[in-house]
Amino acid sequence: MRQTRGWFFHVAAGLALVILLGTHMTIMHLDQVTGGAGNADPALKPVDWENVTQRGDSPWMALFYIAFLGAALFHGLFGTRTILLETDFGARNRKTLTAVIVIVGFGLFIFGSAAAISFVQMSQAVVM
Amino acid sequence: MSDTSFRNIPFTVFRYNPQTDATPHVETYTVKVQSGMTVLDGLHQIKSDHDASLSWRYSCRMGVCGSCGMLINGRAMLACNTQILDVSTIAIAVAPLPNFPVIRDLVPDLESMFVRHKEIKPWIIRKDESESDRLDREYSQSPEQLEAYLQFSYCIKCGCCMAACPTMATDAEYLGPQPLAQAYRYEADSRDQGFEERKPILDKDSGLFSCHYGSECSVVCPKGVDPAKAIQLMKRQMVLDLIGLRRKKCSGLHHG
Repeated sequence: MRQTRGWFFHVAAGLALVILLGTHMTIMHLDQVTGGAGNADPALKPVDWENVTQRGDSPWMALFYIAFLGAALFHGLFGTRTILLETDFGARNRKTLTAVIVIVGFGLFIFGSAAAISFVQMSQAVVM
Repeated sequence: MSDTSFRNIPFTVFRYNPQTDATPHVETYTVKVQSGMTVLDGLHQIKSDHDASLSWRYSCRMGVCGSCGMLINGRAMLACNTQILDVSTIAIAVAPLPNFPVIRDLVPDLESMFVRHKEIKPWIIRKDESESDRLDREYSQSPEQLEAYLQFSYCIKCGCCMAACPTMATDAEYLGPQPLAQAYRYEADSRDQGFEERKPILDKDSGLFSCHYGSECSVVCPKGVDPAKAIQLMKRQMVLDLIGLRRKKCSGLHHG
């Protein structure tokens, strides 16, 4: 079920983004509203060193950002592919376009995941 | 009392004869319009009074055959079903249905629609093919089961929905609202068991999920069919099938 599966996961990724982006926004940008929820030291800003390293100390944070990255990449790139396939250029180069988008998506996912894992490793080393 | 007075209305008509014309052009004719005249009547008047070479397709003159679909003042309509004065009292522009090749003047080549319509297998499919040989029996269907697909069975294949579809205009491979709505017409029919056979056709690239729900197909349909709704309902069936929640109760054979 090619198109159906793609559409289903596109919507599922969109819903996941609402939750993941909402959590990210709540922790990082709405700290004055929430009283610093999700931050180790609510008295400090979310981007202060202590809070950043405390967040990074948890492997769950790496999993959270990897899931966030995957959902954002899939949702964005699948949507871009859908738009491009409706152009004359996309219709003529359907397979090439799909291959490029898959390669770019996996490349960015691996790069972003490695960054998230490195961040956790670095934070754990600092906190220890 | 009906208005019997005439008024002159210019008809701007798309003209193209691929045997003689390098490119299409438009010509304007003055038509004497009376209340009650349809666009089809106007075209007949042009043919008899101005230019006998003007070509278009028509047959029944009463909105049943679906032959005279054309673009009238920018909207896909049946010429026989459209009164001139309802469209405009100032000027009328007539062109062939977009999203189809032009054979000549106002005659579109609808073959691509018929091919796609046939592709979705628009007939009742039963898992047990031998049932069709048992002529002493029939499928029972309740009024509610009939209602589920009835409006979608009113399609006359005029091509107006295909001409109005924005996705058709940008994606030449798109199945289009007419075949997709007919796929749901059979999916909604309690006698049909052909979902598995139609599924790969609907699921291919430029298939069911390429519909953006612009809904112009439903706006222009001269028979009141709602292809946009059918497509959304078909999408629901496909997604339910994907997650294993699709249920369909099919009619069995009964003694007639």
